[in-house]
Amino acid sequence: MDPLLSEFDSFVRTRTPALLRSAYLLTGDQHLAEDLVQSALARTHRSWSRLHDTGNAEAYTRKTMYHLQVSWWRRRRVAESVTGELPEPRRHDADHASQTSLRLTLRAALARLSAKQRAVLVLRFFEDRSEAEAADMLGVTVGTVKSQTSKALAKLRAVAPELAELYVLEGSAR
Amino acid sequence: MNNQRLRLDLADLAEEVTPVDLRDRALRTSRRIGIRRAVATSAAAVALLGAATGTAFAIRPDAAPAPLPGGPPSVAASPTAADPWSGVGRLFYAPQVSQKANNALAAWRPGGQLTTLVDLPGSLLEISPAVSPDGTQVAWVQDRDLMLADLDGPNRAVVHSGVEGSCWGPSWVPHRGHPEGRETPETQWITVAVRHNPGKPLALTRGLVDPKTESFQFLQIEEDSCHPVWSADGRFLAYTDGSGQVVVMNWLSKVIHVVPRLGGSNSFHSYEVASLSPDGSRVALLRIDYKQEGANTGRNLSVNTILDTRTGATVELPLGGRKLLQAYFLPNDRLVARVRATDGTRLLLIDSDGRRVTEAVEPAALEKHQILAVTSS
Repeated sequence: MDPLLSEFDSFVRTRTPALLRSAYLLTGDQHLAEDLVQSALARTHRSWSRLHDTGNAEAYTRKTMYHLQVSWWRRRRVAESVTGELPEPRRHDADHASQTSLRLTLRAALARLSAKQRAVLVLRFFEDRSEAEAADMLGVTVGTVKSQTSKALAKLRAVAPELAELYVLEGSAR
Repeated sequence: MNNQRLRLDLADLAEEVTPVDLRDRALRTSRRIGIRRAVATSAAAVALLGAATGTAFAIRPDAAPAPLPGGPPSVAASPTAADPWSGVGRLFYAPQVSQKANNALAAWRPGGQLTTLVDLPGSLLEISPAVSPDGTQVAWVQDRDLMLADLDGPNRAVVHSGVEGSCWGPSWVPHRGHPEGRETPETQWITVAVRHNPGKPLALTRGLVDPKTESFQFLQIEEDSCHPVWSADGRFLAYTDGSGQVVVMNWLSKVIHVVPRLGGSNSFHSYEVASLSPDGSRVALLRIDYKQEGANTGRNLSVNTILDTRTGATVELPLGGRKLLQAYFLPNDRLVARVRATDGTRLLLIDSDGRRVTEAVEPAALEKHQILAVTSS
């Protein structure tokens, strides 16, 4: 097999699960996440001869993924597959059902955010990127990342007060 | 908000996604992106060459007779007994790529007048429009909705939701009635792929939609199929698969036949099929070197060869040395071929025995469009 293709195969198979997790948070849907990662990987493949020995392949793929997601959303206003209706507020017990309910609430709340707001949340709080790194990824200024993060958190609080309540209560208890 | 708790909950939510192997899908997409870029590059090169020389393409001295001059435009050109284009209805055109938000479909017939039809919200690559066999309606995919509009009117409607548009754009069954010969003989079915099981990976369901009732009927067809094209009588269906092969299926017997010498480990692949002859014996497609890369998101109806589906051999056409751009088989087994000539683009009507019947110069306004469909009446 072509050694370059072999390297690309290895990259895809080792990094796809992590890329899919980010893509799932960005899109809220299994199929859209697959489409997004597939498209980003395809572009990485197009540039593989340049990327393979630089060690930047994953960064390139992630950057492409974030750009594609924001541009797809702009162009098509893709109908969210996640329901716009929020589930009933969770009960304050700590069992599995409660955690599932919380996850559903968070997922539905994320679906209410714009693509860029969701992107900054994923970059900052899932991938643990700094504001500067997030800005570089999205091709925006640090100021934009700050303002979008602030708006995203405010909107989460607004659309899912029970989440805000939970997070604030737990935060203040620490 | 407690950001640490948000971090944990996001991580928890991310675990919902099901890991899948995207290697083959990524490579196919990469290949298709390359084709799209190659098409754009070659189009630009042709334009530059034509501008520089004025005669970029020469007609061979032994080429067929000089083309017939186009007749005076008429408002309604209906075929007559003496009409060399008898058996050809109208040709429908759309831009393959466009920066405009809306793009009007156009219709033309040799000897007739160019007419502008309904506005569509995108180009051929973006929304995969398909004109009905009777030339009255157009279907396309917009934001995963199958849309339908009259060609000459403002009415448009969503026919079905959750439709996949990138690989399985809508494809009209060429005759009225179910392709298996049962039920609703008056229905004009549209072949689509639908995501019926959100949350289940690769859960595309191929089927038929009745535009009038919006009902959906499941069709048994292999999962990796792409760009379905029906023969004029609906007996055969051709499609590409993920490895560059072209498959021809006898719809009633469900026997499939892979066109030899194409795809897999062969030197040539194809990911774009445009038309299938009525008996399924010849297919018009875009054949590429296996090293070429290609596009994913939309329809490309370019054709550079006609292949014998049984042997994989190239079918010779009387093109007079000109480059083949597109080709459509008619129900009477004739072929409408579009070629690039020194004076623009031309249409050739070719008989089933390979003889050129006639040809005509296309209006210059259509040069950057692709032919979406050729109707027979």
